Amino acid sequence: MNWVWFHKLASPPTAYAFARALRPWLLWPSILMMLWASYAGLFVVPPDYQQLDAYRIIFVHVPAASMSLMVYSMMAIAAGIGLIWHMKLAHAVAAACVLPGTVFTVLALATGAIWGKPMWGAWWAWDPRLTTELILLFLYLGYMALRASFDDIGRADRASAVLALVGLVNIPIIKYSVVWWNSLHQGKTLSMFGKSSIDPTMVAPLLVMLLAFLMFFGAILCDGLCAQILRRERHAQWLLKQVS
Amino acid sequence: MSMAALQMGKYGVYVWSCYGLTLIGLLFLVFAARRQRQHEVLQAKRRIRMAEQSQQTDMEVRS
Repeated sequence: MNWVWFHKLASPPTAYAFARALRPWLLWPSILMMLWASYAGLFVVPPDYQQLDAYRIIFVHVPAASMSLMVYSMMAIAAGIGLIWHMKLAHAVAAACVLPGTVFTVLALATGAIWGKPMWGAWWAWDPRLTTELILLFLYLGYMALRASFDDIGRADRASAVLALVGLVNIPIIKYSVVWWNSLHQGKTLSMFGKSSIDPTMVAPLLVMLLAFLMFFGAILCDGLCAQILRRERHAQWLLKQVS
Repeated sequence: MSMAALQMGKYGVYVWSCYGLTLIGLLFLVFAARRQRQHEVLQAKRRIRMAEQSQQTDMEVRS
């Protein structure tokens, strides 16, 4: 297999140009998809037989929660690649993941708490799923604080990569917490291979919203990556042409 | 669109606050990420300008 394209993409000038060009193609379609999915989720699909209209929170809660896990996994894998193969761009990707990941985790926790109040009668419970998701938020905040505590980018990259890799163990625990323990949190809603537990009419807006969140994250990552590349390549000649 | 559809029984306040929070979070991400990039572009421009100025000063001193 020819890997030339991959090595080319891993070079900062190509990655910078690629991220800048890709950003609008991800951002605007994701906004349109979010608008459609929100409209369908709020007004088109029927109410749930048990939770009535309160279940409509699912269309923002599940995508935010899924993204919080996916972004952390991506951040840890990128940090690991950077640590093992000394690839600067991988560290840049990891550093660019932390802000969107934190916001998605806060949104998942906040919308979950708001959903919990009418369904469970409490904003918060020390349930395995909620507790492990809260640990995920602390991991993101810890990663951010650790990076900020170093002046040298190289040292910040290495130290934060170790933290990201250690924290990766939390991801399967969050995912399977509802299976492994008796949980107040409901079981998984969507299944890739088996039958989903929600009505088929509700699946389409949820899947569109999931895809929209994924594309939105891609657009935010493009901006973050550009900022990281600019910071790391401050003395590079190619930068002159890009910013002047 | 009727008021009943917006109120969603007694759950309207929960549902709308979740969508509002999500909107705020996503808008924050768009502006924060763009600001971060623009800040780095400005820093890079400033560095280039300073390098050019010091080069010019060096040339003037030599001549």
